[in-house]
Amino acid sequence: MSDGIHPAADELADLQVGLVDAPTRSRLTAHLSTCVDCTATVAALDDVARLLAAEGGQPLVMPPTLAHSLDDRLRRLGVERQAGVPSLAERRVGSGAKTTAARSGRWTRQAVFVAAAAVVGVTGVWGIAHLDGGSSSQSDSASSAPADEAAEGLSGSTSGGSGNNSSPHVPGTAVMPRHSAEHHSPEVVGPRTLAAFAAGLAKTGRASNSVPADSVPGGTCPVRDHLLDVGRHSDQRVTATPVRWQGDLAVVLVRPAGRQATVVSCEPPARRLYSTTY
Amino acid sequence: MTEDRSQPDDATLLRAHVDGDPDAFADLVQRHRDRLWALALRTTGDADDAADALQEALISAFRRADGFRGEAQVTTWLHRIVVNACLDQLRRRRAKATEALPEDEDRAAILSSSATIESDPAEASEQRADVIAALAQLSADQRAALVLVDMQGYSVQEAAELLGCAAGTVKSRCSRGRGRLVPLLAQYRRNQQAPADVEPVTSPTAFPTESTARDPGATHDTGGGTQ
Repeated sequence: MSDGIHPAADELADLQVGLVDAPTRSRLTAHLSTCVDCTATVAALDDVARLLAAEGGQPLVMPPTLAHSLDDRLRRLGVERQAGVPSLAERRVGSGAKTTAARSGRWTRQAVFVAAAAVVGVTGVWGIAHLDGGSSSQSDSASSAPADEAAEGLSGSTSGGSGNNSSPHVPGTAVMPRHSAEHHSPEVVGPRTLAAFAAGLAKTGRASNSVPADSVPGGTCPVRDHLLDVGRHSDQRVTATPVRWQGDLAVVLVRPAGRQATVVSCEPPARRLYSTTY
Repeated sequence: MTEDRSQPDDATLLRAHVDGDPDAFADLVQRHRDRLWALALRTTGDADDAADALQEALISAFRRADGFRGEAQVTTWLHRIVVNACLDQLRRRRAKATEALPEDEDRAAILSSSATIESDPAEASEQRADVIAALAQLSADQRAALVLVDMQGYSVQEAAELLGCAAGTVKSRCSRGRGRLVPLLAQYRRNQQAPADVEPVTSPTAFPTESTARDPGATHDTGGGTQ
């Protein structure tokens, strides 16, 4: 070893790419001429560049689920644009604060709130669920685009002060009256039975707030909790009822004013699974 | 579109998209998706962040495509949008400091496991995992510069344009990044060769990189294999 104090590796790296001034260069080159270790470090720096290049040459494959959802989303955007349908994100006023949680699918109560609000339409975007299909009678199932758009709309809805919904309420007993006498098991509902189920709900008046929050096995459904809160602060009447939809927990949202029923998944993201009129 | 759509080039696809072709942009992305994924994954060092940033970047690119003037290659334009979305994503992540990051070793495992190498000798595989883990230790800016220049093969000037900073800045980030990688990689290598009586170090963050750099003697003695 030479004089005890070795230059740091990044100083040697700077030397390699010509980023040091003349005095430093002389000092470093003088040191290198006598120091085996630092010469080895310089060689190691070359190795690093070589290793990075080798790693960069390795092919990586996009995970198929991401590839599919991305492709689906871009094609959908293309079709919507062709049809002259502005997406929710394009329609929002100003880009506002960005919310990582909503875009990334990391689930937050706020995201549930807004996604749900967008589906139900209490923020004035009820039509969004039907724009892509052009028909209000039925829509494709297993499409994530509306939820994605709802999630994108998060920043607009939360930062833009969209009326009475700008401050989501923390769910709790105040939001959700509990009637312990009425514990229902979620009913099994499918595409063919949804209309009849919704009509039945409307007729019997088995409305949202008659279903206790803890009636759902395995915990409460955040979508429903928030929707009830939304409905309470809106002039539109919305009912939300937990069901079993194709084996999974979901919520049927019924908007009597439009005689519309929408199934929203309870699992994040709150995707609209199906819509119909009754 | 009147062009032959069997093998249109990137610029043609992008023009078709701007002209209203509903599928052209998705076709363009499909063609480059693995490279874009690799760029996002390496820049962020985290699969979730990469997926988020990539989706955001491509939707943004979809909408901003008419701003593409053809002064660069379409892939360069896409790479610029993706890299910057990744850096934005990391900044947002850093702002949310309360959220726990996954262990670096986990991240390295994710990164190296998404590689598709038919037959990868164990040693090469270990070395690759080391490179990825060490890369994850760098600052986002250093990593982005190294990913572009050393891994993706962009020139310093091109990388500077992509990142929107001076060429000297890219140069310096690259050299500092390489400088930090040297002791990190040496430490990983030593770890693998460590005999049983050497206390194993499980987290790369525990390595005093600065001191090992300043005292290369330490780098060579502990492994016990130099002389």
